[in-house]
Order: sequence, then C-alpha cells, then structure tokens
Amino acid sequence: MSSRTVSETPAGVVARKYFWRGRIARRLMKHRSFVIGAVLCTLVLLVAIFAPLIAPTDPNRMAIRFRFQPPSWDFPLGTDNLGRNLVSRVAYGARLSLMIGLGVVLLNAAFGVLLGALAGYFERLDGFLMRLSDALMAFPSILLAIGIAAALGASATTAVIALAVVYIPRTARILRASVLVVKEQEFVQASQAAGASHGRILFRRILPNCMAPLIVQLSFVFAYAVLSEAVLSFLGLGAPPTTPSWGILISEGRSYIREAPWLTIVPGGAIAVTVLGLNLLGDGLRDVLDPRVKMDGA
Amino acid sequence: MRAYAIKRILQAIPILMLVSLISFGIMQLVPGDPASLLAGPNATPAELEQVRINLGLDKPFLTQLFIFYGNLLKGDLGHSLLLGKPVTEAVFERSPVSISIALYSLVLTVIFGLAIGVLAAIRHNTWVDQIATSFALIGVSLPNFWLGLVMIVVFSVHLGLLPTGGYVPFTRDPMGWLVAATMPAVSLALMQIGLLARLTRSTMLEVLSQDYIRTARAKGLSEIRVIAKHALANVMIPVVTVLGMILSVLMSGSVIVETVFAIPGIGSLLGNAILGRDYPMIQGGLLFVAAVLLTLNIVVDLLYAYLDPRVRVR
Amino acid sequence: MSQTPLLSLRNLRTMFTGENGEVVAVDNVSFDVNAGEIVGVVGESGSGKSVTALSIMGLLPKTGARISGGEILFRGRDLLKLSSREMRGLRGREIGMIFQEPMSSLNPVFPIGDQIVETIIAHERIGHRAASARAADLLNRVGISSPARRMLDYPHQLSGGMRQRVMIAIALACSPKLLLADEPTTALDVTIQAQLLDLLRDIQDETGMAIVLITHNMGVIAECADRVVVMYAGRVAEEAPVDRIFDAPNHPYTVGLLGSTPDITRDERRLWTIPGSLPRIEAPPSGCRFAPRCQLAIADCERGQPQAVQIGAAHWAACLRTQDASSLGRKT
Repeated sequence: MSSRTVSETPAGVVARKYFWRGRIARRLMKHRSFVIGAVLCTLVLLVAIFAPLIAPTDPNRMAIRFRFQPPSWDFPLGTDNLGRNLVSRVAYGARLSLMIGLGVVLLNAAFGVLLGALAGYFERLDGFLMRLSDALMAFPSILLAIGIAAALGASATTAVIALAVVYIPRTARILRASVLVVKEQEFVQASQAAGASHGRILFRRILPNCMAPLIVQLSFVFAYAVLSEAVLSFLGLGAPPTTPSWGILISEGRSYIREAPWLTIVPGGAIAVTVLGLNLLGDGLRDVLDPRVKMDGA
Repeated sequence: MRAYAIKRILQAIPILMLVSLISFGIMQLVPGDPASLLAGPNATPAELEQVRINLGLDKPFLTQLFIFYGNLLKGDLGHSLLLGKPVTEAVFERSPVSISIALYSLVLTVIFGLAIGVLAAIRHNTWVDQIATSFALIGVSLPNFWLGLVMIVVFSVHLGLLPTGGYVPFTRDPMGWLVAATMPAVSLALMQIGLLARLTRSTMLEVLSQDYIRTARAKGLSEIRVIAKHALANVMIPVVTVLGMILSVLMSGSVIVETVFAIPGIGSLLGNAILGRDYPMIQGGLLFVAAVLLTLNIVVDLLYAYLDPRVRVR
Repeated sequence: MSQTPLLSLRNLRTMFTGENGEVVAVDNVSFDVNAGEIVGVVGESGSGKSVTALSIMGLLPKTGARISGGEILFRGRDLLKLSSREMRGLRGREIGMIFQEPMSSLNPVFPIGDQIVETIIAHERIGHRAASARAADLLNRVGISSPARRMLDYPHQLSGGMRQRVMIAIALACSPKLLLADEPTTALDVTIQAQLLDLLRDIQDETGMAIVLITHNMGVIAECADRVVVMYAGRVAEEAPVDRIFDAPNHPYTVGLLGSTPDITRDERRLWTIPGSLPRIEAPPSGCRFAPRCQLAIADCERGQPQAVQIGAAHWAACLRTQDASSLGRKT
C-alpha cells in the first residue's frame, strides 16, 4: 500500500499491515476454539491432499468378496454393497467436498464483495441492490439452491454456482454494512478531499478495512457450503453418483441402513467433523477480528 | 403501531414481486429446451410443439412473463406435469403435513434453544456453560438428514421404539402423529436449537451486564425474577427477530427430512418434482413457500414491534 | 457521637481479578454513616467509590470480584455474614440505591409504574392495587406530575432527569434507612442536577434517612453533604465534616481536588490541577499512593501506608505531612 502522506495511514491500515504477524495472530493462537478448529480443518485438508496415499485402494475398486464388511482391522471404516473400501471413498470425498466448498467461497466472495461494496459506496445503487437481496433472501437458502441446481442440471459446477448465489446477498450485506462505517471515517474523507477517484477510494482505502467481518463470514459460508453440498448430493443434485462425494455416500448408504449402518454414519461423521472445524475456526476469527460482536471474554 | 404494520405490509409487495420474478427466472435457467426434456427423447416434432404450446414456451420471453404474472394474480401457479393437477391444489393438500412438523420443530427449538442458552449464560464460564456451548456447536455442525438417518438406525433399527417413516395426521390420531413426527421434528430442530442457544447465550450475557439488571438486583428482587422477568424480556427481542428465519429454515429443511422419513409433505412433493423434472411444480412450490415465509416474516416483525416498546409506542 | 452508626465500614477490602492476578480495588476502607446524615464520598473515577457502594449492596459481579476482608456493619449486623436471601430482603427495603446512568438503569421493556410496584410487592405483603397507589404517590413525591398516567410510560418516553426521578422513587419505595446514590446527577444537565439534589435533600429532611452520596464533584459535596470521605486509589485519604474539608483540608490530595474545582466566588487566574494521574491499580506505589503526585512527598512517604491521624473533631487524614498540607490549602 502506498502511503504518500502520513495522514493517509490511519490506525486501521497499520493494523492490517501487521495483521498476520502481530498481536492478532498471537491472540488467535491463544484462542481455544480457533486452535481446535484450525487443527480439525488442517486434518481434513491433509486427508484431501494426500487422499491417494491414504486410500488403500482405488475408491471405485469393487471387491464383491468383501461386500458389507463392518469396520474392522482390515477395513477400518468397512466396505459398501460392492465391496468398495470406505476409507478410500471418504478420503476422496474430502477432496470433492473441500473443492466445492472452496469454489463456493471464492465465487461468493467475488460477487458478494463487489455488490456489497457498490451498494455501500454508491447510495443510488443501494436501494435497488438491497431490495434484490431481500427478495433472494426471502427464499429459504437451501430451497433456492435446490431450485437453481435443479434448473441448471446436476453437476458439481452447478452445485457451486447454486450455493454461491444463495449466499451472495448475505455476504454482500455484511460488506455493505462495513463499507457504510468505513466510508465515514476521516482518512476516507481525506482521500475524497484530495480528489482520489471512486475506484481508488473504494478498492484501496475502504475495502482493505472491511476485511475482518468478511473473513469471518466466509469461514461460515464455507461451513454452510459443505453442509449444503451434502444435501444437494443427497437429493441427486450435486456431483454425479460415480464420484464419491460425502452426500452421495450417505444417499447410497441409506439403502442399506439396516444391514450396514456404517455406510451412512461414517461419511456423515466426516461432514460433521469438517463443519465443526470450520465453525470453531469462524467463532475464533469472529472473537478476535470482529470485536463488535464479541460479548464475553471466553 | 398500525402505521408500522401497514408500512411493513406495503414493503412486502415489491419484494413479493421480485420473489416471483426470481422463481420465474430460475426456470429460464434450464439449459436447452425444457419441452424436449419433458416430452422425452422419443417425441415426434409435433408432440414437442404441443408441449411447447402447453407450457407457453412458444411465446416471446416478455409475453411469458406477462402471462406468468397474470396467472399469479388469479392464484394460478401452473399445472404439475407429474401429478396432473394444479400446483396450488397439490401444495394445499400437502402443506398441513409440513406445517405441523415445522411447528413441532419450532416448539422444540424455542424451548430447548432458549433453555440451553439461558442456562449457559447464567452459569457463564462453568462446566454447565461448557457443556451447553459444546452441545450447541455440535448441533449447528450436524447435517439434519444424516441426523435423521442415524436416529433411524438407533431408535428404529436397534431399539425398535419408533417407526422408520410414514405420517399420521394429527387430526386423526394425535398420539400416532406424535410418534411419527418426533424423529423428523427432532432432526430438523437440532441445528436450529444450536443456533438459537448460541444467540440466546450471547444476548443473555449482554443483557445481564446491563445497568437495568443491576437496578433489578438493587431492588431486592429474587434472582429467578431478575432472570425470568427482567433479563428474559429483553433477550426475547432479538430471539423473536430470528424466529422468522428459523421457521424458514425449518420449512425448507423439511424437503430433505421428509425425503428421509418418507413423509408426504411439501418437502417430498418438491423433492419428487426435482427428481421428475416437474418444472412447473418446482417453480410454483418454491414461490408458494417463499410467499408463506414472507408473510410469516411480517408477522414476526409485528410481534417484534409489539415486544419492544421503543418500536411499539411512538 | 455515642449512638451506634447506621452503617459502619471496618477495614473493607475488595479485590478484582484482572488479567494478571488479583488487584485491590478497595483497600482498608473504614468510615461511618449515622442515621439521618448525608455522607459525601468523593474521588476521581477509579478511586474505589462505586466499588465500595456495590460492596455494601452485595452487588459486586459474581465472578472476578470478592470482598477479602473487613466488616460492613448495618444497624449492628455484618452484611458480609448474611445469606444471599437475607441480603436480598435488605436490598431495596432497608438500603436503596440509585445509579449514575439514568438512561440505562430502567428496564426498557416495562412501564415505569410496574418497575416501582414490583419493588414494593417484592418486600411487603400488599395488594397490587395498594402498591400501585403508593407508586403513584412516590412519583408525585419525586416531582412527576399526573403520576397515574405516567406510570404507564416506558423509560424511553422520559427524559434523563425524569428517569432519575423514577429511579429515586424506586429506591424510596420501601422507605429505606439508607440510600446509596452513586453519581446520581453526573449524567444530567446542570439545572436538572440542582433540582435533583434539592429533591434528595428535601426527602432526606422529611424521612430522616441517611444518604451516601458518591460523586467526583466537589460542588455537589458542598451543596449537600454533612460529612465527607475523600478517597484516593482505593483508600480513604481524608474524612471530615464538610466545612472542615473546604476550609481546612489536611491531605494534599484534598487540597488538590479543591484547587481543581472551579469556584466563582474566588477570583482565580487559572485552575490548579494535580500533576500526573491515578496510579495503575495493578501496580500501586508501595507507600502512600498519592506520593508520586504529591508536591509535599518526602522519602518516608514511600515507606509505608500512612496511618490516619486525627486532626480535629471527626477529622482524620492519612498523611505524614498534614500540617504542611493545611498551609498548602490556605495558600491556594
């Protein structure tokens, strides 16, 4: 960031500069839920990255001889109706779930930030954009995602688009609120008085100071994306059945819930651990980054 | 208060129009030709044309939109392709089922969410708080349909206590309804219980640090009265504002949970419509649910205004 | 005075748990309040005035604060030995309290009448109707006109001064023997301040209850108090009848406080201010806490907490150099 004059470098901007190195990082490392969440998320991420190493066999390799094996030493998570090893399938499922989650977060952030910033900065756009977001938010999020995914046809990409669209108004609202606050601060008005262009003020002065609530929101969007992806897959609106997404594993396992309950329980557990990790991470980030909503010292 | 109510209702009209525009727009997203999807791969060009005319797809976009709104004003949400009856009829048949389960869930959510949140706050930083917050966090992290399946494994397969699915109307057999609706309602409610408990706890902690709570204690009121009257009345204000959102999530969550428990509600109606590519049904069903929720949100807002004298008395 | 005091603090010590262990917020504080008198407790914010009041009421935060020593004798009974149930019976009935923030001290979601009535009902066997009638009387008494109608108002419909009147009505609801008023006028306009102080004095005259008036404002003290306790950094610096405090202060801190109060009767070139600031509560100076800011400090001052020395009738000061302090007082 180019700080030509001292007056243009207010406290918030300085704090941002030292964001990850300084006090905030230390406070995060001391925050119990953040640390637990980070550990869980890292664990899931490692499983996703090293899925080929973790998986004893190809996730789609069938071994009819070993069908419906309950969890045991040889098959730690059991096998399914076609004798496929659940360890392999859940590990590869982590890849798909995290990739979809990441895709949703990126797409959601791109549009959410853009629309939220425009609504917050240009008063003339605000009314229209906010009414539009009201309308989108009138639909229950999962129903809207189902509707969009159903219309676009089932695939991992449509799941990403559908889920991102659903959360764009929510992210945009959060960004808009921060922009409205930051906009009124002195250093922004100083930039305006100095004749800086709207684009420069918005992207170089205002947005960098709206990052804290955005980061918190995105961690929760990630959690919702993982949960909702499973719902879409479960309903047959997500990734195709040949890919072992966690939601598909549950929906396949459901048919054998009497004989082989682990087929349902294990992938759901994987979702739960991932979402729990993300929620803990988000709680920690919110406590440390967003002091406005911090209500207790816990 | 009355002015506020009127204002709130008027505000909802443009939103409702946008909502219907969005649900109309969703169907425009269908890639390729919906008519060919519906008519099947073996349809002759003449049959295809007939389907197109039936759906009004032969007309230009704006005309379609115009017809859509026209029908909407007449209360016509279109005709289900799978069920062969009007969407409104199908929706009205199924809605009591979904509503009864959603209300059951709502009752569970409010009772347990409030109780857990309040308990955690008044025992702040103790083991009670630890357990309550952990429970709430786990609650918000579990996929509800999976929870339903796990409950089936435990309570139906292993213990044989509850049926794996099905539905009994409350009006016919209240006990039967309770037995059939409990697992779906609980699996729907758990995540919302977690959310509400978290909100209640943080709000309660904030309220308990307020000056008027100190005043209430200084007056010599009993601690129960301080919490149950003075604190809770203030906690209820933000809680009521999220009730609309909770109800909306409960209603939409029923799509999945009804599928899991084979319950003939709006959720499974939509679920089947999705699987069968019954586009008018999806469109109409979505719109119906959104309209219901919009109405409920107005009710919740008015309730909020009633609870908060700063809004009510003006 | 031979009679037993209404309230008697004996070496009260209140601790707070901070981030780096416990700190002493109120240290060895002792003073008496006799029936029917107004005792002013004065000091800067952070001097432990409010904590003292909350300690008396038993309203310290449940976590992070505790009373680690001393006695609080109210009509001869040690309040620290009472059960929480007995304390509750006392609060609002025998000891009333009003707070600094009239804007936030009333519950926003209940009508003010209800908030008075419930106090009465909590302590007395009385019907709702009788309690309502009394609440209306109380509102009338504190200067709120058409009380019956006002009782239905919500706090946000009243001004700050009106709300503080309602708070006073609540505190008076059961005719307490003692009223703790913690900065009751600080948040209000000057004209309303004066009205409320008049009201408090009138009520005191009428009912004969005792008032502990906590303030940082020497003007308020001059107007109302019979006796004054000056607190500094959690300790009592000086205690004296009000005229003695103004005419013959014997603690350098009191002198400083008086010097920094604007006084139109004296023709002064500029306000005298005390150099430095209140010591950090986590790291108090080892000896006299005022020593680092005191222009009279000598080496001995840092060697231990100075004992209170009696200067005259009911006049004590905790200072090694009281004589020089009194001459300092005359100079300014």
